[in-house]
Amino acid sequence: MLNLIKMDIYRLLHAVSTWVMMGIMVLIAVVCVGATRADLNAMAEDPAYTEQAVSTAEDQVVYGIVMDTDPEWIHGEVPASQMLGLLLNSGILMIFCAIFVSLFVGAEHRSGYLKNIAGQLPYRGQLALSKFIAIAVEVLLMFAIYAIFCIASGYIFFGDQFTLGSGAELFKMLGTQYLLHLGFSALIMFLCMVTGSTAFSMAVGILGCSGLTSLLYNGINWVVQKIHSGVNFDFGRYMLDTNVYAISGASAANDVLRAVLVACIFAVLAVGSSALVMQKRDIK
Amino acid sequence: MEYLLSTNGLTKRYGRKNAVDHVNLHIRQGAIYGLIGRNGAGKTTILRMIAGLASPTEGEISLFGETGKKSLYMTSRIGTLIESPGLYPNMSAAENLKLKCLALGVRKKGYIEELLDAVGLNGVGRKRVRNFSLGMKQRLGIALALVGEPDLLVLDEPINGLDPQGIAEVRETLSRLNQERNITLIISSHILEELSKIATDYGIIHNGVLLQELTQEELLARCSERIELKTDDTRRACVVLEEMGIRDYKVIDAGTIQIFERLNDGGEITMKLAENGVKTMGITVKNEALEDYYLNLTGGAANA
Repeated sequence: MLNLIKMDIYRLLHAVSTWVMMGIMVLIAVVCVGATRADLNAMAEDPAYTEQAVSTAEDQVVYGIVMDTDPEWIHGEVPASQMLGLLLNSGILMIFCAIFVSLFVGAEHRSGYLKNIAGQLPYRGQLALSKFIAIAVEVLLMFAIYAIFCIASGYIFFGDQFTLGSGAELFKMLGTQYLLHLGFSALIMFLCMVTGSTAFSMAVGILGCSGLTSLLYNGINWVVQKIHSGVNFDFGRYMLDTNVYAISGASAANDVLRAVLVACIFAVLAVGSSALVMQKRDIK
Repeated sequence: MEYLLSTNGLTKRYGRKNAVDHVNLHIRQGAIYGLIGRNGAGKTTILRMIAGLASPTEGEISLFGETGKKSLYMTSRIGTLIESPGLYPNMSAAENLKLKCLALGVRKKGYIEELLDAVGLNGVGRKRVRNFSLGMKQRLGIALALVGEPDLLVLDEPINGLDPQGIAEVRETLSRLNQERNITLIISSHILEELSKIATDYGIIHNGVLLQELTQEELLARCSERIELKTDDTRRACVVLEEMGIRDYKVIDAGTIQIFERLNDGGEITMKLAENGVKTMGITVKNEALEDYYLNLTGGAANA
């Protein structure tokens, strides 16, 4: 098992996509913070724009990647945990997780390299676990780079307004979001292994990050209401993407615990299912 | 006899079709087993099941004396090259080998260079695989199969894409591995004459069924040498042969007789025929090529 992890980590470090993703994280971090600064400047110049932005955030379901901005930041402090939280809530990092995982897992199937090693393992399911660990390392690196460059950009774009704020809040938010993104990555890995298609898993992942799943969740909630009227049930609370959109530094302990459980359950089920597929299916 | 690998009723079914149909293979330790069959005969499917890449629908495989779940632990002693080599195109040859070394826990210094040298790829370890020719990729695939010092090598069409020199080098490498390291080899190939230069045992597959298993000696006996006699009167020639005490012969057509004994007595036969007024149009010693034997066995002569 340890040997397989070493193999996948070696491939991770020697894959072009790994380093391209790191570069993109740096770029995205700077662009996101810069865009936030530009949005606040626009709000400061035009109060009507501020009102519209606030009401949009409150009233409408938004599809796509949208980063919210707190109007209080126009003149007040910009805590790192709050800004990072809102940037992560947009789902932009989930998209890159979907892209990276599809490419990394799909490469083994596309190249046929799997044939060289799969037959020599008594339990091929280990390959799914080793891949998941390599993915966990990459997602951690993506998070670390994104967070570091967001914070650095925060100091550049906001100057004295920008503060690190509560370290505990920051790590709690980052840790929870990391687990949620890891669970999402495990799901994408499973889709890639089952379908053998990089394009399909990438497309599903990207669509899943764009808020379209809320249509499905609302549909399920409607059905549940029809069956048990009066029941206060929200299917989305138990899904990865909804928790990514919701978790911030100010989230209650119950919400954080629920998010962590959701992430862990999705990760365990996805990795377990991937291992089963790898074990049972013939290698082409 | 104890076999390194044997299969019992090995079957692989896709839908309603048996791609491999109750095959019983027997492979001795130290043998070079040639698996012969046309396209779609089931060779690759058999090799994939032996290599652990596909599960049999029925039957079992005995590997190194173990069957069932215990045989799963023996698969690490097998090196495989099935169909085209699976390589990461954006990685170098050395990096591709390094991945498998890591997976199998091989840490010996200079090991990768030794492997590249063994397959004739010395000096190109740093070149990206996407810039390799087909022959170079095939050699790298063989090198990958050798990682971990396997006791059994399963090679599916290993000389595909190689030039004549490359074919000779691979043949020499595989022979050397078999003789020096006592590695058992299973090789499938369409180039039957090439296979006959190296194989010690053969399995002939047709439509998923194992038609025959035979050793090199048995094959030579069946593709036996004979005198091919061309004459203007086979009836009178047969009378002369009978008078000479020759019984093991066969009339092929109106002008041809094959004689399977007294292969060194061609001169005497010619003289006797001439004494009896039978003209000899031609007399040669021939043997049946492996290809002809295979085509006759599988009924593929119409396509020859």
